Amino acid sequence: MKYAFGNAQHIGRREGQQDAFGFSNPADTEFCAHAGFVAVLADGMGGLEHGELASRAAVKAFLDTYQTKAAEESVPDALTRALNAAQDAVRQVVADDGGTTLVAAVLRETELYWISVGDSALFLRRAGELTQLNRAHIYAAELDAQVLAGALTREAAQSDPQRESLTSYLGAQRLEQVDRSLRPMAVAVGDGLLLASDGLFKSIAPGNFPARAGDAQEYCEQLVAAALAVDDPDQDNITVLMLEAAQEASVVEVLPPVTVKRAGRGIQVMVAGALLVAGVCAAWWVMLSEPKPVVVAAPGRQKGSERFDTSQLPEIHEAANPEPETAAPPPIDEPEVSPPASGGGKR
Amino acid sequence: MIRCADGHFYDPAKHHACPWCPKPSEAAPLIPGGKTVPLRPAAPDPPLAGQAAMAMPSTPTPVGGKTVPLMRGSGKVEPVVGWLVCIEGPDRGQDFRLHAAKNFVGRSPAMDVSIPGDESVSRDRHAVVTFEPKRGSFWLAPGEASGLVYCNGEVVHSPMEIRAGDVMEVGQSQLVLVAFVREGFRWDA
Repeated sequence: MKYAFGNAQHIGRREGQQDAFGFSNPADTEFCAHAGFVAVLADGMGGLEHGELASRAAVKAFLDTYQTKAAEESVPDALTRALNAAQDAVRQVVADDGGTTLVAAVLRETELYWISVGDSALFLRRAGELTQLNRAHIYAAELDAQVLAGALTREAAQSDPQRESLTSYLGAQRLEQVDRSLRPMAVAVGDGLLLASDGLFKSIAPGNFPARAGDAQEYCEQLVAAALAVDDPDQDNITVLMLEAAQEASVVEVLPPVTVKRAGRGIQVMVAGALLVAGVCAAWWVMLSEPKPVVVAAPGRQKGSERFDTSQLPEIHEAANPEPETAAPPPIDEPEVSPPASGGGKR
Repeated sequence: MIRCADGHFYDPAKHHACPWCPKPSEAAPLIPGGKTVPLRPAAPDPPLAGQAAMAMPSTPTPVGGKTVPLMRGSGKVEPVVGWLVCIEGPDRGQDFRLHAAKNFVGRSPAMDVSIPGDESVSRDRHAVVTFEPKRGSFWLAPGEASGLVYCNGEVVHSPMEIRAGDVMEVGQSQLVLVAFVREGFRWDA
């Protein structure tokens, strides 16, 4: 199975870009063999720069932690571990002001796994039809349940000012709700996965997404352009990621990471050069100052993640069989997507 | 496509560097390893026009389209001063809480006393029940809507003081006043 992918982002009409995203390295075939290819998207919120900080910290911690997955660990376990690490990281950056959503999807051969907190969406695009696989953790769900139970009028539920507010997000004291797939969902060649922040699907309803033209990258750009064409004066940040089981893999060149270690080594090389050029006095001075970066860099890197174990995730909704059904709130009427292999033909 | 170190993809023909990575100045607060990052600038940046009030919203409600967390029990609870209990009409058995100052009565969910089941009640401001905290008295007045208000069977033309046990009538609904703030109890005491 080959993976095709794309990403596009726009700030909309906002002051800052509070969405963040990232992919694992598709060229790392050894890692991909057991961990698959992962895409993650986070939509931050909060005053000052907390939204930006939260979403970036979440994506970074999530990817870094997922990258530590061993072959023995299952994908759902690794996703949960990565989510907990992201929660930990976000709590550190935002204290109690702010947080972020997070949705991540993993394609491993023909298997799809995902995990989600908040209201960013994961859509399956099969034979041109879109189905949302995750549920939004927003107050509207509770309000609508109250309407069904007769405890609230429809009008009151619709007009509640907190209707769109998040009931679960990274950075909250407790992760109230986490949705994840426990067992993989089967995907076929031609199936596409879209990860999107609400800036996309609140501007264009999923039923009105433009028809696809071009490859995954072009489709992401097309979707962002379509959302911008709505010309909402209050357009939110938009991020769209696409992940696809494809005949043709996206060609990618991977840039080496610019790590702290590497920077430190650079400094050491420079220091060594200075040692050669300068006299003994200069050498003394450099040796006094040289250990400092080493000492600072050594403690406190990584590994803070184990504090949040799974027992701290209260209401985990195990989507044991996450195939889209009519029970989910898809924007599509026909429940024809159920047999996983049906959309295998060429579009 | 090129994958940058942060896991973004971009087309090198269109961009010379990753367009999705935050500019170095923006990313700076994230870099220090393990160190606690200063969350709030000591002196906040001068607010951009119209942004001052939004920076730290105490209630996250009106910020249009922004992603905000749910504030459960947010906003101060307005202390209850009494209730109207529906004893006749489509919502018979329902109680409505009253708070200090004016309580607007109508069918709309935005009303303080919202009687959704009674179609003969005006949508907005059919009547006004006022609690006056200084003396601790309740008052009934007609609203701006066309419907009439009755108190103990008499039509109400101008504000009149009402007491616990008085029955007001709007549309087909009869509501009896139950006072919580009464002799011997006050919220501010």
